[in-house]
Order: sequence, then structure tokens, then C-alpha cells
Amino acid sequence: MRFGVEFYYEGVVTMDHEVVVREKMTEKYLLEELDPQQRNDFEDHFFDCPECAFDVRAGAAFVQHSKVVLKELAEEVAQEAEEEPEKQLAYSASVVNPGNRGWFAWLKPAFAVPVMALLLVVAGVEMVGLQQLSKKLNQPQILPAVTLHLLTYGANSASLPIHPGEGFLLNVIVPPEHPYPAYRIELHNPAGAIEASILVKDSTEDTWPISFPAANRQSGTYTVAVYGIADSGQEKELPGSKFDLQVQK
Amino acid sequence: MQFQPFDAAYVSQLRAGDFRTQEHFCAYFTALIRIKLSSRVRSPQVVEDVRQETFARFFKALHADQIQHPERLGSFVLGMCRNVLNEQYRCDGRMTPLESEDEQSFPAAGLSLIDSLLAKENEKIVRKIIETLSERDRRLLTLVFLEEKDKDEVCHEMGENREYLRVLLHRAKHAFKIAYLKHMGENSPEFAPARKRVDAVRR
Repeated sequence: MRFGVEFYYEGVVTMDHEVVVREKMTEKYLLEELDPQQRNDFEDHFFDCPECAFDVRAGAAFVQHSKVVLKELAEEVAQEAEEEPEKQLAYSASVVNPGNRGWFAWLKPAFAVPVMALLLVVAGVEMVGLQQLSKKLNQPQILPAVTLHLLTYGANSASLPIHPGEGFLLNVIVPPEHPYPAYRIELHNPAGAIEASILVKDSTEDTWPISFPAANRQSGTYTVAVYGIADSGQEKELPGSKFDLQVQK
Repeated sequence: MQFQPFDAAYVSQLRAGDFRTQEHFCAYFTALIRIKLSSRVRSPQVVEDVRQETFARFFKALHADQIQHPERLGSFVLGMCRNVLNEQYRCDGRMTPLESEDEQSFPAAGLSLIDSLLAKENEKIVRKIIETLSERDRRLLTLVFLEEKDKDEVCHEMGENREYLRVLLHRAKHAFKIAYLKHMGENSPEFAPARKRVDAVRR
């Protein structure tokens, strides 16, 4: 399939520059999203168009150098984690200790990831006094996340890589009909034990972002079990989902 | 930034053996040919062979006055590159996607000292750009570019779509261009538009 508006020049079909820019052809080219015909057409264009050639070269340079930089940054983060194990342990212990705060108090559904991230920071600071633990932990943090579709129980498991002692976010996509007024969601660890449970009432959202705090978890297949709760209080197990938690050493 | 296309003057200087013009031509099309071949050819040596053969044929055609449309010089070079690549492909069937991480870094192979310094400068620019990104965007780029995970799966798992990835790359690329030009100037050795070099020679 040829792409966008074209014009003929000396009998040769070329891409229109405006369309190339508007359609982000450089990004599609670098992300290998073009089919062979589109790719050839775009190459025909940027070999003759200095502006697009510059664009492609800049994008390719960014991609090439980003591999080096991202690797370095990841190594620096890992090194920092090694140098501050006591802080990490203190943070993990304070979060998973159910003695005075309660494990389930952490499991609150939220309906917007940015809001949830902000709440996590605010709640985290308030509950465990992280201010004196680490400057890094006081920053807004992006949690590892995985999206789970209910009603696909038994399908291929999604992977969720996390660092040791790191929390994560489950984006649970639920059927839009919401046949039950309330739901109970359980997180089962690889050993089959219930690690957490949460009640969701009167939700009209299609996605439930659920945060799970940092804990000393093991790699393995975690199962999300879902129960619909009728007005009578009777519970019925619904198709859940599962994911592979990969604790990266 | 003003871009000017290839033209008869450029081809004329190239044919006359003007050193700066030839230097520009080689640097400019070496970069484009490497980008073009990067997703198609396994071996850096094959890339280099294709590039050299393309240039050899081009200069032979140049001196035989076969450049009929100077303004379409890029297409001419690209056409020759495709022919060479197809011949290479037929010869040894080595035109397969890159696999190993080492092989993917082939643009760095055989770099001169100046090239190495430029690469370091570019890395600094890229690092500054990446450090301004959110942890989430960094993670997205890490999964896509560094770990080379399936893009659809990555976007799905992170609750994003492919357009988000395009926009992220677009913004990063734009920031890189601005920072690069600010840092290196418009007559930078890597990205100078064709005519700029010729003008510089004329002055």
C-alpha cells in the first residue's frame, strides 16, 4: 500500500513532504512500522529531501545512543540500590508490616494512573515517614504495571518485571456490563496463598487500577481471582486472570 | 534551519573533485545508507561492502556524466545502493535482520577518533534528554529500544498505544535536533545539509 498523498516527478512517484511530516513517517520508519512498499517510498523521499534526511538521521542517532544511555542509567540505578540496601529494607519492612497499618489498607482502587501515582506518594509519605529514608522515595514514582483482561482466564500470562522490593500496579480491565453491584478481588501468590483482597463497590469504570505496595515477593505466576457479589451477599467466582511476576535481581 | 537541495553546482563540484564536497557527499550518504541497511543486513562488513560498492559505482557514473537530474542525486544513490544490495543478496543470502547486540552497534565499528568524540557528545545530549523524561517513558524506551521487546506487547502492558510511542520518539528526536544544533552549530560534521558545505567552500 502506498502512503498518503503522492505526486509525480519526472515519472517517479514520490511522497509528499507535508504528508511525510504529518504522518510521522520518520518515527514509523525508525519503529519499523512501515510495510516494505511504504518503507521504500519513504527512503525514496528522504534520500532526496535534506530536511527529512536530517530528521531520520537525528532520530536514528537518538535511538542508537539511547541504547547506551538507557543501559548506563539502569546500571546506575542498580548500583545505587546496592549501595543503599538498608534504606530499601527499611522501606519494604515498613510497607509490608501489617502490625499497625494493615495490609489491606493499602489496596485501594483508583481510576486514573496519574492520580494513583500521586496518591501513592502522598500516602506513602504520611504513613511511613519516608522523608528521612530516601530522597528518591520522596519523588513521584512510576510503578511497574501490567494490564489484565478478565474473562481471559487461562490465556497467555502477561509478564510483569519488577525490582526486588518494588510495588506494582495492576490495570484490571473488567467487562463493561458490571452485572454485580460489588466485586471482591483476591491476589494469590505462586504458592496459592491469598496475598491481598480488595472490595470494589458501585464501580462504573471499565478499568480498575489497583496498586500493590512494595513487598518481598518471589517470582512466579500470580493469580487474580474475582468474585461477583450479588445484592443478597452471595458470591460467585468469575473468570479471573494471572500474570508472571519477574523479580529481577 | 534552512535546507537546500542538491543541485547542478553540487554535482559539478563533486565531479571536479572538490575535497570538501566529496567529504560531505561521503559523510552524508554513508549515514543514510547505514540507516537504510541497518534493519536489513546482518553483517557490518556487508554494510561496508555495499556502501563502498555503491560509492564506487556512483563516482564512475558521475565521471561518465550519467547524473541527469542533480536535484534527484539522493534517489540516484539510493537506486545504486538497492542494486548493489540485491546483488549481494543474490550472491550469499546474507541479507537477514540483525540479531546480536554487538552487531547492531555497527555504526560505531571502525570509527575514527573524531567520530568517537562526536558519538560521545551525542550520547551526552541524549542522556540529558532521557533524564528529563518520566520514569514511565524511560521504561517504555528501555523496553522498546534496549530490551527490544515486542512493541505491541510493551504498549499494551503499559496501557499505552503505538501512537504514544511515536509521539514520545518524535519529541525526543525534536529535542535531540534542537540540542544538537545548539551544541554543534548548523555546520556540524554529522548533520550539515548538503548545500551548506558547498557554500562554505565558495566563501
